[in-house]
Amino acid sequence: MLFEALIIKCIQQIKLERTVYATYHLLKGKKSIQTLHDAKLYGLERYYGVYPSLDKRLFDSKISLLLKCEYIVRNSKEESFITITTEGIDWFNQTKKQVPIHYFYGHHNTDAFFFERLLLVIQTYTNIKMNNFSFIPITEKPEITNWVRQLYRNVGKNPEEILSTLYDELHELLITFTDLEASLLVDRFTGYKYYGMSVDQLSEKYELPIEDVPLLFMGMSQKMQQLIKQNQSAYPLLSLFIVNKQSTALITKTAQQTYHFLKQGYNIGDIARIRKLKENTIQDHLVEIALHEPEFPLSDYVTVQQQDMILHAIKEVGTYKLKVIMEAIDDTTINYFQIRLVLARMERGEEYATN
Amino acid sequence: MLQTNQLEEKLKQHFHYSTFRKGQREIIEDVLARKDVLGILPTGSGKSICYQLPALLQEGTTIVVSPLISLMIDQVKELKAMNIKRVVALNSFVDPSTRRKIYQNLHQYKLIYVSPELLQQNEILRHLKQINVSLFVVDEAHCISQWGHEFRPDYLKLSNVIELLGNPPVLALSATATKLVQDDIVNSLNLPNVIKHIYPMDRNNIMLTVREVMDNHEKLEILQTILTDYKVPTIIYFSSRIAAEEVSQHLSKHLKSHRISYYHGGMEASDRVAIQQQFINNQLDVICCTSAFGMGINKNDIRLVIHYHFPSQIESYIQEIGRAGRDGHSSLSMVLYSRTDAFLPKNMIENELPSEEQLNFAVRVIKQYHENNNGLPTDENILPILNLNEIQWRFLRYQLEKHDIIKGNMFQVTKMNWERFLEYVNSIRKDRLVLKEDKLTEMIRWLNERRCLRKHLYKNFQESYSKPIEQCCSSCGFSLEKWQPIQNSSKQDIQLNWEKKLQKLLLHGEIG
Repeated sequence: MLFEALIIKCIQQIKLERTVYATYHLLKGKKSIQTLHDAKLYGLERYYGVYPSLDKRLFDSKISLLLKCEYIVRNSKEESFITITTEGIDWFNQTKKQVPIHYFYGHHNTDAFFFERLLLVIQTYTNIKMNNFSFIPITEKPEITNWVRQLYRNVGKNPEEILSTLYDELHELLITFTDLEASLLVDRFTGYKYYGMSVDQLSEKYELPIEDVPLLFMGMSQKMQQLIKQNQSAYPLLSLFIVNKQSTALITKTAQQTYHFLKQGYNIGDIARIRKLKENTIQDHLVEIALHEPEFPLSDYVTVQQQDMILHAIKEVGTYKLKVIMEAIDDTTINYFQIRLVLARMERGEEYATN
Repeated sequence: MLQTNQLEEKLKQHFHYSTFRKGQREIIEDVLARKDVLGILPTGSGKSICYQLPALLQEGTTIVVSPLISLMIDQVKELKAMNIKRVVALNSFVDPSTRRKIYQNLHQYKLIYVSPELLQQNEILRHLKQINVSLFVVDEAHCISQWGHEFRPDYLKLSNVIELLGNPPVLALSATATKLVQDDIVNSLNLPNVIKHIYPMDRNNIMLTVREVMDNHEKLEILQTILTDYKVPTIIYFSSRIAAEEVSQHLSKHLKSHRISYYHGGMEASDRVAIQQQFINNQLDVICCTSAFGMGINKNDIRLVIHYHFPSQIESYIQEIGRAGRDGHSSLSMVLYSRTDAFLPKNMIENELPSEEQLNFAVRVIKQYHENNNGLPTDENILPILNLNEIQWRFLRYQLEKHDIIKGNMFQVTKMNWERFLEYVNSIRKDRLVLKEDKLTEMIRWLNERRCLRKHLYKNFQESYSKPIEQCCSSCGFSLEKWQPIQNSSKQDIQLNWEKKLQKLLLHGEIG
């Protein structure tokens, strides 16, 4: 039900302005400027990329189900555009009390590797404690294994000490969750001569829909990180598990390169020439940077006066569709690129969407 | 050369075993003497030690050709867990840029696992030629034989590779090879002076039973009864993923005291590892699985192997039951056989070869590429275009290569009589179909055998068999009541709350 609630939430916010696959890409965390932009524009950054392994067939089947329940309907003119019904709103308001949709804090605020680091640390230290140095690690991602190696070298060679600190901190965190959630998480842990349960096994044991299990782990991971950050002194060990605190991680590599040139004072035309890319592409990069970089110098590209005009037009038409906004602006000097930049910088989201 | 006891020391040092198992030492000594060796060792006798230990003891690099990518990956994981780090697996799952990086440093590795397909690429051969290859291992060597149960055309090209690498010593290994197949291996690899180490594959601690049933309903009833009476580590084999999942769920519901799960190739890698490790650590009692489960599993106390569906050939059956009772204690194989089951393997066989219509279509498409002077799309992309599955395309591609029509993805001929080629491939297809159907018939005949099952199971592989330690088989008067296997006081899942469980896991070191 958590998964359905997330879909409904996204559809509710996006309204009829994007096709239903905008929601799919958003939950899956597609690294396209369009999807990142959508996440910010519609106040859905919290849910961006919460389900990386999402399968298109699963998504389609849930959409059909929600259509059948009449929580959502297809637009009469455009089949691929979907909107929420009053029954859907009622259902969502009921459901959100039962599922922890509020656990999600978004990729930009959290470290995607936190949970896997935790799992591997537990497996590693419980084995070391029993003097077993040959075990098959639950993950082989170098981002995770190298980090655990570093932790071992820098912080703790005494497994008893580490494990007892870890126990205290984890216990402190887990009592803030429901019993079911805490049990689910503990059942996932792998230790000495003991292997954690697979997603299928957990879904069977706790009678949860199979797609909700990874979502719950993601939500819990993000919530745990939030709790840790709010009270770092209470979690000296687990604080170390949150490595990536910077939102620039969301900017694609190629946009980062553009940003690098930008900071050195090159303009769009220069960068396009140096990087042998089209100016349009560089503009896309700038929109991406504007989305995530608080220090982006917006007024270098849109004067304050132009910004006011664009914001005014957006308010007037009540939509984020570029073409409609453009038509509402009299000033012919304003172009699409400038509108996109303003949209990217706007304090957007909930207040507009829930009106 | 190392003294006998020195070999044992090295075994202990690297692999933590104190003694060799039957056949291992003999093979390793000949390998270290740089002789060509053919080793036929029964499943579960530790074949891989026969090259892993020499790889560590010799200068240079050992190359292992292995047809099963998942097995390759598992072995590399296990070696790394044992702190043997200079090993690598090369196959189509490794992306090209990573592969290239590995190629630059090939000489650093003691042990390189490689898939036979990859060995056909010039790039890797060029790099392999530049390093010192101390041993060339052909694992699952029966794949080389058209008469074998898992013929892999790429294996036929291995002799060229060996020659290209300057004829390093060769070790060919298999668990199931009839005399005919053994001859094929020696001839195809061109090893006139080979030393053969052939060990009998019969297992005197496994009782062989076939139980004829009316339908699936009866199978489920029998499963429930036998699992209730015997709570021992159990594998149940199925011919389809869906059946494995469904029966696993059904049994979980009806046998609350058992911990049951399923395993098949369609699951995520991390989940597959989880299930496998849980079974090894006695967190699970019963695994419902396809033939994907069991390869390279190190568990000594599996007592019961049940076939819910029978395999399509004797060789697979021997391999699958060979996972039982590796500790030498009494174990049981039971095939639940319903006469209507025969169509299942028949379907599987037909899926492994393209149908006549499929061949017609595929050759027509290839002809088009040829006439337009284009190369063929890559292996990954071509399957949907030709409407073939991977095994079927492998079959056709081999025929194209064998006739020098293509090399890699490029055509080698200008003029081509496609009609005749199609006719020829069709005749080969028919031969292979007949061969596979013969294997299936042989399996079914064995299931219906009224005389000693043991004698007739092994008759094509060896002259005789050793006397069973307990009861022999269901033809020789088997009675289930008399079977009293060691029942490990298997850990019960004590339902702990999460706090207790977390405490045990992190502070006490062990759960259960």
